[in-house]
Amino acid sequence: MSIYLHALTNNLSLTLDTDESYTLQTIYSENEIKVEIIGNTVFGVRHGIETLLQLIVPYEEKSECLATLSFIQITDKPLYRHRGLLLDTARNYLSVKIIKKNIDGMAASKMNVLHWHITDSQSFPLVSPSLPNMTIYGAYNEKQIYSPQDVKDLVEYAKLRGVKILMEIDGPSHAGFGWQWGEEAGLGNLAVCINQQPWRSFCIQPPCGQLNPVNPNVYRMLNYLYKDISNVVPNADIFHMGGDEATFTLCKPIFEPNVVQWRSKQAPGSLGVDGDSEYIIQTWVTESEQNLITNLLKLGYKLILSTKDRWYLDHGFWGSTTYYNWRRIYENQMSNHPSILGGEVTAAAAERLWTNPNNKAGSAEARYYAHRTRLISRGIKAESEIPRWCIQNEGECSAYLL
Amino acid sequence: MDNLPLLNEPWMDDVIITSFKIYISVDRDETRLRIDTSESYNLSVRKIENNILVNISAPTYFGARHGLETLSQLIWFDSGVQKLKVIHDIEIHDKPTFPHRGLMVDTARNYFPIEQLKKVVDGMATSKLNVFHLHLTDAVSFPIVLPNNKIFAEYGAYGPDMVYTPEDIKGLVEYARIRGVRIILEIDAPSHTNEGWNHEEEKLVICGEENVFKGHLNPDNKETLNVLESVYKDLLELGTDNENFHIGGDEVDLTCFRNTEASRAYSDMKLFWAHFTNRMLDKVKSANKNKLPTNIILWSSPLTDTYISHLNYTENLAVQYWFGLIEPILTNGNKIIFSTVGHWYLDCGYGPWKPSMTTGVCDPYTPWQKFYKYRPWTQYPSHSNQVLGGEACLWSEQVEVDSLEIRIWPRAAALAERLWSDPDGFNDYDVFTRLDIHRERLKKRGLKVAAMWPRWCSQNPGKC
Repeated sequence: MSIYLHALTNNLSLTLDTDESYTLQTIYSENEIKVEIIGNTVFGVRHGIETLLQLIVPYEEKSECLATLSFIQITDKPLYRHRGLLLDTARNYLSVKIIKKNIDGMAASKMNVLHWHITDSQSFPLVSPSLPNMTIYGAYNEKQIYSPQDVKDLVEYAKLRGVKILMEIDGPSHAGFGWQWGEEAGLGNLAVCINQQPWRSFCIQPPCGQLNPVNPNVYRMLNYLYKDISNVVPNADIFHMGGDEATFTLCKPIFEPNVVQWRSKQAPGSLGVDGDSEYIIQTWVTESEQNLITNLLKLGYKLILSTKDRWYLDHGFWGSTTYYNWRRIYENQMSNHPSILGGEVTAAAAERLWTNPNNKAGSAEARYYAHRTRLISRGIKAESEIPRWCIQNEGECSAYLL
Repeated sequence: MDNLPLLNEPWMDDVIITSFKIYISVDRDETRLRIDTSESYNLSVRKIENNILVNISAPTYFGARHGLETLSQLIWFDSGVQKLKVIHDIEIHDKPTFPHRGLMVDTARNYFPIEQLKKVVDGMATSKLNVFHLHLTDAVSFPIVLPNNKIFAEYGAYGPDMVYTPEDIKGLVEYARIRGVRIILEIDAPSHTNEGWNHEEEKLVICGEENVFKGHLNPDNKETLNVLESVYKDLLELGTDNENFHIGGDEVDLTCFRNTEASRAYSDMKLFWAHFTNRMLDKVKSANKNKLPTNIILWSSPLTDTYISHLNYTENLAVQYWFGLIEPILTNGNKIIFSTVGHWYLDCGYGPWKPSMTTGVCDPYTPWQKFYKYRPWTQYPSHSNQVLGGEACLWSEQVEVDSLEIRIWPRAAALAERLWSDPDGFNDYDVFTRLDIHRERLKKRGLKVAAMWPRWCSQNPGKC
């Protein structure tokens, strides 16, 4: 088998406008398979290689031989530009190694944005060379941090796999530990309500904390932080500034959106910015609250969807939330409105975000399980979702009740 | 495990220890864990000048082993001063409340390698759980290679590499014995049978040709019960607990039996169920050299709810209760092992696994607090001598190698404390903190454990 790869441009920046399309064709003649993958960018070509890998399977179980199709012609491109996964490294720390494994899984599933919710009120593991106090005060311990080199490595590792890292320093709410040193440094209170008790009266989860909106030093410090981040994530076309779940009761915040802003339930006008093309809103509202999405689109915002009652991967393990298995994730049919840039979540969503197909999960079942096997073969710990019998007897579990 | 007598926090002193001696004395030469084996122990830690003297005394090896586990919990590494520390000048007298403190893992819906099952035993030993129940087979697979019935695994395993050889099982039994854990090997019958049983032309199973999940043993085939006896003999040879023998008996579908010749004489199909189950019980006895096990265990069902009095050997019959009615079991005089769904099931909460289902079988997810707070025996004080204990159950439709351990831990450890000391109260702060520390202990022993909360809450006790 000989493989020819052609990238038509030498554009190496990975942005919202990156062309990820590709064509793949194979021709079989005289015991040789010629594969040709053509993309406008190297990122498109990389997707083509992923597809090629999916077309090569063991000839039979335990066989040393491989099988593929002798003639293939594929023209493919993603429907949505933003196909993301969010990882929260503040509530509990994740090692760089684990983050890399998740990037491997994203690459195998053609997802292209790792949204890194790197800080929250519980901890601040991101080392800022300009503000070393952030981790001294905010990291769980001296080992559970991300150095500038760690972040640079991850950005590079991700880019080679067609994944862009989108950094989020949550604020004004969800900020606390890491910000306690202001008074001591003569800068005044940088954050308020840090670990205020009883926490139930002041915020949604402990410890409480919000940036102090009336202290101008806060904006100076944010400036340092953002600069440090831009040093390790150079040429980022998109930055996430949090904005989730601000509480107005005691700790009154103001909104100062930079680029991506979590969308809470405050009315669309309250953002204080018009439908400026620079702003993208990430909305987590439920499937039934489509009005809000329609309104935001009317106001001219671009949107990233993270439908709470379908695409939140932590639900089902706390409070009265329920778990969404892959079928529910998959069946989140989306609008094709051009201002909807995409969504964030898993592998089931990856197909939704690539092709937004009309079919229900049932007809995707076989290829979903095959993809799970593929992820496991790449060393990713993928959840089992069905007895092995159902994989070995394709379709048999669909037809019968327990 | 709890209520350590703290004497003015003497371990706060800064004495450097030069010697640490442990004396263990065991009264009896008892090397097999039985249901009536004493697991009690006394432990004292004394500081005499610069020496630590530990005494562990116990009636049996198994009690002494628990004492060592407790001792390991009294020693910790203080990262602040970079030193190991030990709590001393204490005395502990400890014993379990219940003799059956179990964990069940289903190895049929999905397969788990034997080495991973040994890791489960490690976690059990760390948490003083003492019964590892393997639901070895089900309708969809038969991974165990039975010494005299190898053909079952040849037909029923997911693949030649997804089997438990006799050496695997014997090795697991021995590994567990050393760690104070006995093994129950369950081959479910007469329902939950198909793959493996459907070999050759013998027609050992019926009703499962169209739908694998509906298979049942064939009562019309005279060989069926003889084969079952031979299977039981194999399990006993492999080292299953011969005093606590599990026959399965879960979810029998009487509509399957209704079309059989064998049931023709029965107008009441429930009586046919009792008849067939009694014949299974007889086969357990004959397989066990004609000795009735102290407890033959079967799963609860609508049939045990109503017709349990028709089953023989009441004194020797224990019901593993997961759903249905508790009273009929107790008033009939049977023993009980609690595995109540909604409280002690580890697999719930992951939604439907077939397109034909609209909700999961037992959603929602059961958090550890529910495991911990459940004390069903308090409702039946006059039957306390019939309660053997409890088991956490992990059915594996939606679990495989990569998620086995995080499904089990730390929730099974919450159950472990419930069954060991059965504390009255539930003080959030105490229990959270103790379980959180135990979770770290499990992690240090190489187990994968689920997070309970943000690390911040561990570092700021009482603030969450």
